[in-house]
Amino acid sequence: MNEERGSMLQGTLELLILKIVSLEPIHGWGITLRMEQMSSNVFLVNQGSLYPALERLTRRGWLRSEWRTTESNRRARYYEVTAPGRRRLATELEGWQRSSSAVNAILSWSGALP
Amino acid sequence: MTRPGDPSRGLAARVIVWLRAAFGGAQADREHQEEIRFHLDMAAARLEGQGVPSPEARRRAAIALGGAAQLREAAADARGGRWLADLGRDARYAVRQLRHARGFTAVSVLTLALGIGANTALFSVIDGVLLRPIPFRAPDRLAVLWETDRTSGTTREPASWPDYVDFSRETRTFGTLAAVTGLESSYTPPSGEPQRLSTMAVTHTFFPLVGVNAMRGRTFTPEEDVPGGAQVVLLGERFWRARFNADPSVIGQTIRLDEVPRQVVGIVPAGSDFGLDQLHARADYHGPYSGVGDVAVWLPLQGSEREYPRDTHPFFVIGRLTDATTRALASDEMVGIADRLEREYRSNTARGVHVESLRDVVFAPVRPVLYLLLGAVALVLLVACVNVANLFLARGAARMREVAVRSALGASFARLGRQFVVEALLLSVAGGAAGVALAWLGLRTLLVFAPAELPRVDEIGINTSVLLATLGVSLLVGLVFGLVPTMQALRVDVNETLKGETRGGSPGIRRRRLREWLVVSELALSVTLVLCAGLLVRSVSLVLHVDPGFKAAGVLKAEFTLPQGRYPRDYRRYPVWPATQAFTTTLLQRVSSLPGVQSAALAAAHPLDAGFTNSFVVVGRESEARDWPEISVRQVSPGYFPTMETRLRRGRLLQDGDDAASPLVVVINDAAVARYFGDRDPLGQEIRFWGMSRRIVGVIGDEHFRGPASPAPPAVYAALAQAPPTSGALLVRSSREPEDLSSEIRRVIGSLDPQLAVYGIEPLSTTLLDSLGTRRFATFVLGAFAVLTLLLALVGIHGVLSYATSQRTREIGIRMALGATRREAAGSVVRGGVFLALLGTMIGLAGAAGASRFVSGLLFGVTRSDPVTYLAVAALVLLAAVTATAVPALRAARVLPTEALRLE
Repeated sequence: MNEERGSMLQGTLELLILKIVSLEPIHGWGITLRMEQMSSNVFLVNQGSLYPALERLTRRGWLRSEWRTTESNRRARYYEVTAPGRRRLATELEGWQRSSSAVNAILSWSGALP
Repeated sequence: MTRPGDPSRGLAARVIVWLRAAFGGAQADREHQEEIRFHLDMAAARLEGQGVPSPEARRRAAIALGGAAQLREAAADARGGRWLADLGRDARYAVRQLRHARGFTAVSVLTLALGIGANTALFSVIDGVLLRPIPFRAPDRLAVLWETDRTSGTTREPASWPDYVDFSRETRTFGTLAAVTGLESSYTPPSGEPQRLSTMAVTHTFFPLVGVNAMRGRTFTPEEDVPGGAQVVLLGERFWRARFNADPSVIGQTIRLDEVPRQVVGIVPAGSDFGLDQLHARADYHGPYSGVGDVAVWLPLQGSEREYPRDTHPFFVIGRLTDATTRALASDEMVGIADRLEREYRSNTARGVHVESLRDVVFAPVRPVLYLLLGAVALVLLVACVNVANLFLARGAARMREVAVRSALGASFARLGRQFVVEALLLSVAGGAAGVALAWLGLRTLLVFAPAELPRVDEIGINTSVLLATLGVSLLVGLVFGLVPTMQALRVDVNETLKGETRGGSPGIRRRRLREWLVVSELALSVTLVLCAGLLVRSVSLVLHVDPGFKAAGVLKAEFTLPQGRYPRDYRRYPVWPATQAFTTTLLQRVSSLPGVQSAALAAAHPLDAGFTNSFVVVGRESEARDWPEISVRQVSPGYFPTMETRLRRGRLLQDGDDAASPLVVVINDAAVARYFGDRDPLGQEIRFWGMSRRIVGVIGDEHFRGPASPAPPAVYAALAQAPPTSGALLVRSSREPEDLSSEIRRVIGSLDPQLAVYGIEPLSTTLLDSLGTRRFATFVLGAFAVLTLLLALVGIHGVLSYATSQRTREIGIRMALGATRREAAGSVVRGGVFLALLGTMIGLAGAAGASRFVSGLLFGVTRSDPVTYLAVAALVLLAAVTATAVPALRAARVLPTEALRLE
């Protein structure tokens, strides 16, 4: 029940979900497909952790969901990003970019040690 | 990922999440399942599209998603508010568990109900009597000004009117003083029977002094409490509501009290009479008032020295200390004033004053008793808890396997603990609820025995604060009991328990020892209580066996007050009061001729009414009278002596011929002979009071007017015809049923004077029991608690021995197979029980030796180390304990070796 547990990985997963859902309203299966497709199968997301993550994001008020009918006429739960969720996504993206460029800078360091 | 300002962090948001989890949990769970189903369907469809056969596709899809149950749990966790939903599940599980263990549940709930119920009942008494605020302004500044009499050694006498006036005028330490006295009055409604009312006469200073305002109208004015002032009356709130339906227009109307029309000027709130009953009850003597619930009507006290001279003491004086003073300073000042009065007036010889705080006057007699009972009832709860702890331990042993299985399946220790606590809380709250019901019933019985000393009995009830206290106690008890099995669960070795039969291993023995110690301690506690109760019971029985000098059994009493209007009190022609004498003579004639009546008598005060005292002199020894205590004056019809079966020592009794026309004569009692005559012969001597000399013609044995436990005061008996009273008690000795006879007596009195209110009709033996007051109350309540704890302790012994026997079945079987007899088998069980009982009794008696000092103030005729009581209690408890071992012993005796050995 500890929400801070495994924050790095969980945080990444949640960031990815927020990003994907922000593009268009989408159900859980759709998110799985989109993740495989967008990351060219690099991220093999453990499908089991997707649904708890969705519940968590909903509980925090960043996502909301409703039941709609798919093109194949089945009922599915569609998620969309709320206004606070969008603000959150922006902050997180900025943070991600800053830290990933820092990590990149470190990893690509080839100069001599000072 | 959480920061301040997160919507999930606000309290309101959290509450919403909890509520959603608690009430929408099932809905969310259904949605989750449907979502997962959709996911699986889609994933399987994709695999099938890739050529995987259908069942295999579903299998792979499911594997990719992970365990459905774990996923479901994880999703529920993520939704939050899990604990509340779990709590509900725990509660449902607990209810199921408790329903399976019906015997355990019933016994625990009942035991807790008894313990908690006893506490609730007593707490509501303490709350109503002691804890409620006193309804007066700054009650700690209020004090009672008693007069004292050095010759009789009394320290709580009411004051005379002139003394009150002098005290009021001269005091600087008291802001104001007020005089109060209780009366009886008879209210004649426009239609219906006359009703006797509790009445209080007060000076106009009383209500401002205590800080009570009229609810409607006003209180008395200075012009109203002077002789000849207006005939006005204030109504008490409860009387106003009951009789006048709370009609405000009653103000300004006239009501008839003792035949006198009085104008209603105001209504005073209930509780304005706080402490006045106790004030009267604590006085060494007082007038005819005997508090019966709250004061219905208030009259202005129109005192004067002419009507109430300095040698009569009917008035209670209450004062408010000024802010700048202390009670000690006030006491010094009043003693100084009293000294001056003593030098100035002959009637004030040997009189002083005694200042006591009102709070002490009201509460001092009952506070120690109530706290004693509070201590006792805490012990009841403790013993109940020990018993339940014992049950929990026994059950805990049986549940070790369940605990082991659940731990093995991954239940966390916290989760198990919570389960146990929820279960215990359910039990204790159920016990508390049942306890409130028991308390409600018990309280009614308890209040029947409430002594007159107990203030504010009307306000005792099970109210919110009592219920909150009960809830608190229940929750506390539940928490503690939840921890017992939790602690046990901590010790459970999952491997060992699951592996095999743990039988008679070391944890079992340890647990049995613990349970035996619990039983010993509860037995010790109950022995302590039983002993204290035993001392009280013995005291009460000794009090009741004191020969009070009269025989109460078989006598019915009825009281009345003759209103001045129809029975004029012409003191110039005293004792010739024709109307009064005609009434008493006819009444006695008619009652005596009722069938089944052996004898009837009239007295100004019945034999358990202390009545009043007077100063007097023995003619020829006037100078000695200075140092003499006052004498109780008893006005009786000649039939009084045979009716009450008093003993004649010397001379003769009063006779029918002793009337207003013949020489005035009196009879005195042994105590008066001893106090005033010593070795001299009292017969033929004359004593003088009320301005008349009367010759002593006889001596009778003492009657204990102040209750059997108090010594008889010196008394003089005068014949009604030579000393007519204004109020009286009819005493009838008969062989008839009291209910039957009392309605006939009412009818006789009604035929003589239809407007006369008759009250206090009861068998004199009831009056005798009531005179035991606090002692009887404490004995009854403590006795009930003691019996309760003893029963609980016996249940405890029985439980432990039964359990031990069932565990030893195999052992007993082996012994029997080897030739032990049934008697020996049973004997070993009884020996175990007797050992525990002996140990508990010893410890309990040692504890009682200390605890008995709390009841020593209530003892009569026994010391607190009374060996008879100790032996009797020890014998009783041991006998009871042996009886409690009977069932398990019989079970042991019936063990069949073949069965026991097969049992594996």
